[in-house]
Amino acid sequence: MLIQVLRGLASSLSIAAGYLPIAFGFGLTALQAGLSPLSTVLTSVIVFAGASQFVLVALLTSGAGMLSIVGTITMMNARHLFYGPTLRPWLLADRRRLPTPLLAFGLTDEVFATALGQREKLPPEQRQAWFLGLQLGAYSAWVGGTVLAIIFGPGLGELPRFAEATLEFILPALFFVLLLEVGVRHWAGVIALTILVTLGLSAFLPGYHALVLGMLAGAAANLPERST
Amino acid sequence: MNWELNLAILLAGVATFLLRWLPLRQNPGRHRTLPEAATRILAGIGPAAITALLTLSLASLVQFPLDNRALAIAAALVFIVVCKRFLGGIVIPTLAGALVYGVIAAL
Repeated sequence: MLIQVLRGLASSLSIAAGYLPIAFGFGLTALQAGLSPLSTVLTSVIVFAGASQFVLVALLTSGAGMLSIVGTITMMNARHLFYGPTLRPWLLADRRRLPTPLLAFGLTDEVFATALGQREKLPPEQRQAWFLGLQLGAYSAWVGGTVLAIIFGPGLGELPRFAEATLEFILPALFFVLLLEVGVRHWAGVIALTILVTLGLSAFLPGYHALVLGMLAGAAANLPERST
Repeated sequence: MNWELNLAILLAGVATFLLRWLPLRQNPGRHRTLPEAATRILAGIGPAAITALLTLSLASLVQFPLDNRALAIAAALVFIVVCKRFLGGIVIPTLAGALVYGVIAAL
């Protein structure tokens, strides 16, 4: 089991490379907005959800009410509702070795996408431990990046332009690699419709709504019977 | 004030966790077979989710009028395809693609 957890950790390397700078940015943003270091770290430890943490800070510092804060964050993360049912048959194909709360806590977009990309390669009995390692790597990078921002952020100068640009492209690059991994030709219809709907809707709606609707519309392209 | 703030963070965390956990939770003894249409949609959710995430993350980088970021994106995506074809894996193509983007975007 330990070996599979370590393999999962190794698979999380590209996620971690993307998460560290974003979590660092989150830490700086939260501190500048007036959150205490404790509340800043608490947010990353408890919420662990990229974009919605930035929105959470904005809501907290704007004096929004508890109900609107929790409602907004829930809406932003509603897409996660679809990740569990997609992964469950694969993840729980073998007998349950790990409790589902442990397997669900770190189910972020990137963890989900990486698990999908790798799912054909792992036998059922290795999946849960590997997935735990994948989540642990991503989670450690996220919390670690936030802690680093609190320790080093205030005294840090600006990064060179090329380093900033490299960091901002790690997650798009990861998504593209994962798309190649699941097979562009096989999913061409789903991909084309998702791009069209997501791009079209993002002109009118917040990104997280466009994401969910684009995802559902694209998935619906898989409804007609495939000939292959 | 501080306890209210931390409570809001805690509730946001609980809500996010429930969104992730409840659909994954398995109810022993209740194994239902999903209808064919639902199975197909669930199969398509993964590639569609990755595509939607990629689309939005790339769209946020593109600015009009087009600057050298657009060229950097195109070069990075081509480099990733080549890298993936010859080296395989996930980590190296990802980091190499990001580096190509970084160098060109900074020119």
